[in-house]
Amino acid sequence: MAFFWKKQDTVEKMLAQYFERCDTCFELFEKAFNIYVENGHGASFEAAVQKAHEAESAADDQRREIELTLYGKALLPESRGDLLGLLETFDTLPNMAETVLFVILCQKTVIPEDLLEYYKKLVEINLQAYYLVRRAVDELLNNPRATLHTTKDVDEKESESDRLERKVIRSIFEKQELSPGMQLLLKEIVLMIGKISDRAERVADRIGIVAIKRQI
Amino acid sequence: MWQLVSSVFLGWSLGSNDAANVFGTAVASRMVRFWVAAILCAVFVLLGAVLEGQKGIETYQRLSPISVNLAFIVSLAAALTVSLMSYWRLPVSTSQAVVGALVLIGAMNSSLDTSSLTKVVLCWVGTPIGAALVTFVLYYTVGKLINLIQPSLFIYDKGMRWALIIAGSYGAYALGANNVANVTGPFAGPNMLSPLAACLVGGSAIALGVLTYSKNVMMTIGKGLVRLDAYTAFITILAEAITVHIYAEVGVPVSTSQAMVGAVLGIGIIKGARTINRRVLWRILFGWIGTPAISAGLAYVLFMLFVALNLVSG
Repeated sequence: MAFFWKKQDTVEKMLAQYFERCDTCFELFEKAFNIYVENGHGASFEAAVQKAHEAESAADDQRREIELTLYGKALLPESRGDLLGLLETFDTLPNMAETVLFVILCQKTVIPEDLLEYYKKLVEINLQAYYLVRRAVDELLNNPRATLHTTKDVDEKESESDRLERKVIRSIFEKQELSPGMQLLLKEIVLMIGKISDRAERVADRIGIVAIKRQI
Repeated sequence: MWQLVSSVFLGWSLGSNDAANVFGTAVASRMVRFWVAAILCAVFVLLGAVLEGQKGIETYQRLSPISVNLAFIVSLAAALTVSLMSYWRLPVSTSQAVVGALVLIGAMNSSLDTSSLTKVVLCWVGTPIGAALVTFVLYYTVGKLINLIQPSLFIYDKGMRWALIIAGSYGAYALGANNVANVTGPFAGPNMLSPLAACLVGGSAIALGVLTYSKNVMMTIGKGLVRLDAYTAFITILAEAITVHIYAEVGVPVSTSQAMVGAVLGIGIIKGARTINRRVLWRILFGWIGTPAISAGLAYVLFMLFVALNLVSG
């Protein structure tokens, strides 16, 4: 009877690979950001951004493959719809991480020394939001009972990020020595980093719905 | 016995139509491949017919014991009713068509047992109501169990597929056990088929219908039911199977479609439907009154034709 579940087992494996690739993308995002903080713009930062971009593309390819397999009628219709929706929202996370790096790289943004700690903290909080939502995905796929607790944690991280974003933006606009253009660029990066936890929260909401839907 | 042709035709038509009630949802949503469903359905229909189909046949023997030519008229009238009404897309039940023709022939032949008829009609009314009640019980008890386990998405998915296959196979078994009497019941009796042979021939005819012509009906009916999620689809199929199986034990052939309608209605009430769809009520009422009336009318025409041809005595 193994042929009954062949497509389902394939989807399960492909999903595991997809989430691993997303994790790699975020590890490389963190690494690239740290290189930028320590060395500023340069060849090593550019190479690190390139690696993060490749990881994001690999995750994208994997997502498309999963979608095709799911459209090929693997799984029950409702599970199919839930997974497609989850993938669609989750995919915005590595996309955002990549965008943050590209904006810093392409606009040659230089974060003032005294604001760097804020940015580092903001990235840390948003990475935590990502890893929490990853845990929520694992729980949904393995132990749905635990998902509700983890999705609440994601929500808290998003609020923490919001508070810090407002603080950093206020600090940026208090710095009179920065040109208005520079202030806007720095604000844009803050908002973009913050979008990671915003999107993580959106994914967490969806995970919560999928878990609740399976309760009778 | 050439007269059996009409019953084989009836069995084939029953198999091709009613397989959708047990495997339609799973096949139409591609949860189970058609051939897997068709083979499982055919095997379990035959098993149900041979192992538990005799009680229904005995009921029809009591309702109106008849000769081979009269049995041919009953089967042909029922088969024509089912075919015509399917062609006109009107709701139809094989059990009610057979009983309509059998009652008419019994009345013409003065061999009608009214107490058996009362039992049969009461069971018809009880089918959708019983299925709705079974649905209530199953929905909440199985639901509690699932909430207790809280399976992961993939385990739930696998579990639901297995549940649909098992419920479908059980539904096919119940279909064979309950409905084989409709197919060869009128032919069972002294100087005709033995009850076991009647079950074997009838079960094979239904299985043939499942294997050769059920795909389109499964896709059409199944897509209509896909709006149910996997859990509610499983509950309705299981409730329908249990209800039909209970009536097989009682020995009264009932409509699997009406059992399914009752089960879906039960889900509708659980999910908060405040009014009962008039079209659904019309389908059930038409099944109870319209189908046996049309079948009896056709049986009357065929009976008069046979009398004119001196094939039966008037």
